[in-house]
Amino acid sequence: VSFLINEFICLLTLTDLPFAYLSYPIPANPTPRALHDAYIALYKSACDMAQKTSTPSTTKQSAISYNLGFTDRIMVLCPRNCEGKAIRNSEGQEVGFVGPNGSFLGGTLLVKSEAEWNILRNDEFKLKDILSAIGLPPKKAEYDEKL
Amino acid sequence: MPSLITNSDIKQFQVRFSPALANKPKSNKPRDQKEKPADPFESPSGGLFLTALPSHNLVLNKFPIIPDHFILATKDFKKQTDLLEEDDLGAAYACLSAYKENGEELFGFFNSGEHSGASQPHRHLQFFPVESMRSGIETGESWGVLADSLLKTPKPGELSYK
Repeated sequence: VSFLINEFICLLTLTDLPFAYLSYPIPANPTPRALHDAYIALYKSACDMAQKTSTPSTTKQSAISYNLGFTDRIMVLCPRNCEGKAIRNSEGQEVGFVGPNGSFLGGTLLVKSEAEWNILRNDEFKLKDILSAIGLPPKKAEYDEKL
Repeated sequence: MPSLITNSDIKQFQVRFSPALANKPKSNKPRDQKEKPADPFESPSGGLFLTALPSHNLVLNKFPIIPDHFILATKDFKKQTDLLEEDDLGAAYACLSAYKENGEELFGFFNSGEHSGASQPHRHLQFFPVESMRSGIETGESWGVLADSLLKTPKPGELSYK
């Protein structure tokens, strides 16, 4: 497997995330059982958010599309609403489609062409558009207080 | 009223374009419907195979987004759209721990469902060494794993909602 040095990289800053997510801070040395229990709890909450009935125990299939992102410190589940968003240039012409996978939960977004990259770079509003399209709206503060 | 923005509220995203990936096939669906789709994780071998765990194989991604992009795939065929099982998460955590013990960080992710960006039906989780994720970012620019930046007030072991 060869890897070409990637020169097309830019950093964009968001002050808040435009999608809903659920997270679980992982304790030190968790058992697989504890991790699984937490994952199922995140999944069930995400199903509630998406207003889908979570999978009954008789079937194993997920009732929702989602991404899971994790490090040894945290597990984050993001319910998905759609695959991605078309990217348009300043003339309104479509130049591509960005459909993120779970790597966005690591803070990385991969695009498939230089044209897409050029449109996204230095434009945090376009990034925000994509991220808000793919998920569910983030919960408002008053909702947090009820929990 | 302007809202107070603290450092922990600021999220840095990196946007990458990899010329090497521009020709990656969109899916592995065969042209002839009678043909079985190729399963890259069925019997991994050769240059991509790394090691075998009790119920999973570790393989390098054929189309790495970043250097050392690797995959934890179930040995037996299991569906990507089914919920993860204890041994999937246990094996994933073993990978995270192995990196940590080596003084390195690892980020893992899983895609499930038609809207998730998943492209293989055989169950697999993906990993990026965090050092590789930083490649191409100039010294002095700050970037960290988004998931880690979501660690806030909840104590370990508590669920949090956003």
